This record gives sequence, structure tokens and C-alpha cells, in this order.
Amino acid sequence: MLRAARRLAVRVPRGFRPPSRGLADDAAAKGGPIPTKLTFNLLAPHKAIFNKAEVDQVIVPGADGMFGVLPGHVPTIAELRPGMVEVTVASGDVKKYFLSSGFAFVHANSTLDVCGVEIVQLDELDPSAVSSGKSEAENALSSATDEVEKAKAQIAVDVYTTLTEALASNK
Amino acid sequence: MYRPALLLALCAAASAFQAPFLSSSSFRGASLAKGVTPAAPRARACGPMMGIKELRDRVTSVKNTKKITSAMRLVAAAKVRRAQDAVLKTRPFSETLQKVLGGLIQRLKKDNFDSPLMTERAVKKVLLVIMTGDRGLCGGYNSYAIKKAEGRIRELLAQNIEVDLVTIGNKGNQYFKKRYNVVNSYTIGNSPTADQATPIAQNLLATYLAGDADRVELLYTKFTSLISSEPSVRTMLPLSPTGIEAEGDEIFLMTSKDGSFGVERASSGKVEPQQFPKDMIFEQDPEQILSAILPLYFNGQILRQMQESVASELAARMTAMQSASDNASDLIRDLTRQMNRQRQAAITQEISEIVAGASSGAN
Repeated sequence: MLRAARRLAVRVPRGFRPPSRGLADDAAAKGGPIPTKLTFNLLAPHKAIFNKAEVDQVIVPGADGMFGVLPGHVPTIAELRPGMVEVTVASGDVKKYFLSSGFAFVHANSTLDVCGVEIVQLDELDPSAVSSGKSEAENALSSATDEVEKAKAQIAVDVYTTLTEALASNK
Repeated sequence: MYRPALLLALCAAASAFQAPFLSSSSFRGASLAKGVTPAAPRARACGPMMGIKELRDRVTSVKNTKKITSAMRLVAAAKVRRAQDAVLKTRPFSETLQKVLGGLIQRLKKDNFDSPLMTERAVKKVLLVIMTGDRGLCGGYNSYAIKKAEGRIRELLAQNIEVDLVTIGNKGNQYFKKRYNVVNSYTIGNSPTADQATPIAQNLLATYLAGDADRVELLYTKFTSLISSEPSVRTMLPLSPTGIEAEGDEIFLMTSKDGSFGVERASSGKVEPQQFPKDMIFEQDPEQILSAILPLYFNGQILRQMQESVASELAARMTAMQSASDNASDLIRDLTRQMNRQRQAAITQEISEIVAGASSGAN
């Protein structure tokens, strides 16, 4: 995957000046001292998994590549692709979640909101169910005839692939 | 000079004039307890024909009915609480989305952004989504919604606009499936969740985007107070940018006033659109982000309306069951009084018979 490469070529929205990338000094210059902790909200439609929790760092799966958010991150809005949200609550205490899709909003006051359509803790996923689901999705993709079915199967395969990767990295 | 005949005629006319009020007031009690046995035989209970045994049986049966109706009231009250919890859990998510959405729309206003979800089309066909309850015994709740829907359908048909229906809630489905074209039907359940709302929202979006409907309207019952809830119609699609900015979420609170349950409506206040700082980084094009957020927002709207409908239904049921219980209490009191009177009459009669017998024996 060329996520890393694409990441460098982030599209600059029309009419906006080129952003300065996540420089902590930048934010500090405007908003006073940077807090040592990031205020983090992890929100699913049916519940708030983290609500105004203080954490060290969060890595989110942006549509153009994973990126980490530290206190003092520059304000950002990003669409997220299916992938892992890694929350470092404190050093050594890392919680991993899998997110189906959603958005990340970084606010100027070192607050990060992640809104996901579906969010599960990685430990709660059954690896055998994931691998069988993956093979099923691959079968569906190879047998799909029309475009819509094909696209649906492709999405399923992508999600299962990232799920497998996430589970592998969790071991 | 007195003329008794005239006076009698006057009395008859007066009672005939007042009779409708009398009968309607007793009818009101009957209709509140519709489907619950005691109301209708009320007239019979007042009749002289019933023996003590029959009266005792009736009191027992009315007592049982009262137990059921008051239990139903308590169940409805407990469910309101659950529905309220569900609303509170969805709030952080929907609030964050709404804030950002408001900010995005403000920013994109100048660029004449158009999303297919926001453009008005010439209306040839309307998809009307009707929310009712799954079950009855909740006063006029379902029939209000159905009546309002009928009215709206006729209005649209009169303008030569085709109407397709989607029903959420069993009662609406039962009524409309024989009469109009119901394309989809769902149940509403006790506490609607995001899982329930998602397929509905996706289906509506798909229908709208495919051009099978040019407008999606939602008819739901808005809860105003325990005794009144008004059905209202609202356009869901196309989304209007001003509507998004203006609305605050509503929550329902269980209260206990004067020792009895109540439901109150509270507004969480307007969600202010977020002001983006100038150096905000958009990882994707703002337009792309907006297009992706809109379906999520729509989803949240559907969920919210469902929750509001359920709260209205539960409140209506609480009121209906309260009246039914009150009515049963009245009936029990009347019947018991009548029973006691008959028993007393029987005793008096026996005593007078004994006394008569004794005095005739003495003579």
C-alpha cells in the first residue's frame, strides 16, 4: 500500500493557505503552553468509549494514511478508513480499537474527537471468525458478477485484510 | 298561576339538552379504558338487576383489570427511563458531528457547494415515512398519527404527486398496507438504537439518490406534554443547510410530581456550529468530508425522531393507563357501594321478617 507515499502529497483544499504540518511549536506560539496530555473522545453512535479522557497519544487511520496526534497538534479534520485506533493512555498502557470508518477532529485546544460508525476493542474480536470471514469475502469477490456486488465484496475484503493485519500486530 | 304540564315539558327539554353532555362525559371514561372490560358494563352495574354474588364477581374482575392497567403504566414509566438513557448515550456522537457539520457548511457557503442530498428537485413523487407505535393501548397516539398521515397523503395526491410509504411501527403498517403502496416497513421497538436506524436511513438515502422519490417526508408524533402530543410532518431530504445549524437535541426526563410519574421535555440547547481556526488542516477536500458526514448526520436524525416517537408513545400509554386505572377505581367504589346496599337491604328485610314473625307469634 502506498499510504505513506500518498500521505506526503496531501491535497491542499482550494482557497486555503498551505498548512504547516502538526508542528507543536506552531500551536504553542498561538495558544500558550501546550498541555502535557491530549483530551480524547472516542465516540460511537450508541456510546462514548472515551469521554474527555486524558491520554498521551492517539494514532488514527486517516484515509490518506495513519497519523499520530499528540498534545498541541494543529487543528485538523480527517476522514478515516477502516483501521486501528491506538490509544496510549500513559506510557506502557496502550489500548487498541478497530474502527469501521469515521472522522477525526483535532481542535486547537489539544482535544481530539474520533467519531466512528462502529468501534470495537481489538481484544474482543475473534481471530478465527475474522479469517473465515475474510475467505468468505474473497469468495464473494471472485464470484461477484455486477459492479455493485463487486464493490461491496471489495470493501469487505479490504476491511477483513486490515482486521487481519491489526490482529497480527496485536500479538 | 302554576301550570304543571308546562313545567314538566320544560324539565324534559332541559334534560334532553343536557343529556348529550352527560352521555359524552361517561363516554370519555369509556373510551379511555377501551379494550379494558369494566367501562362498558358500567350502566349495567348501576341497574337494579344484579345480585350480590354477581356484584362481588364484577368487583373482583374490575380489581384484576385495575392491577393490569396500573402495571402497564409502571412498565411504560420504566421504559421511558430506558429510552432516555439511549438518547443520552447517542448525544456526544451526534453533537460532535453536528458542530463540525455546522462549521463546514458555514465555511462552504461561499463556494456554492451542492451535494445531491441538499439540492431541491421538482417533486413528482414523495416518500412519506410514518412513525407509529408497535402496540395499542396508548390512547389516541396511533390514531392521531394515522389520521395526520391520511390527510397528508390526500393533500399530496390532490397536487398530482405520487406517494410511497415507509412505515416504522407495526400499527401504521397494519393500517396502511391494505390502502396504499407501502414500500418498506420496520418495527420501532422499545428503545431505538443506532443499529435500527442505520438500515432505515440507508434505505431512504438510496431511494432518494436513485431518484425513486424527489422528497422524503417524515411524519412523527411530537411529544409536548403528558396529555397532548401533536403529529407533525417534516422534510428530511433534501437536507436544508439552515435546518442543520438551528436545531438542538431534545431529551425526555422522568419526573415525579405530586407522587406520580410524569415525563418532561427538555431541550439540550442549540448546538453551535464550530468556528474553525484559519489554519485548520483538511486532510480531504472539505466538500468530500461534508459529503461523507451528511449520511451520518441523516442517520442521527432518523434515530432521534424514532426516539422521540417512542417517548411520545410511552407517555401516551402512561396517561391512558392512568385514566383506565382511575376509571376502574371509580367503578370498584360504585359497585362495592351497591353491593353493600343490597346486602344491607337483605339483612333489614330478614330482621323485619323475624320481628314480624315474633310479634305475630306473641299475639
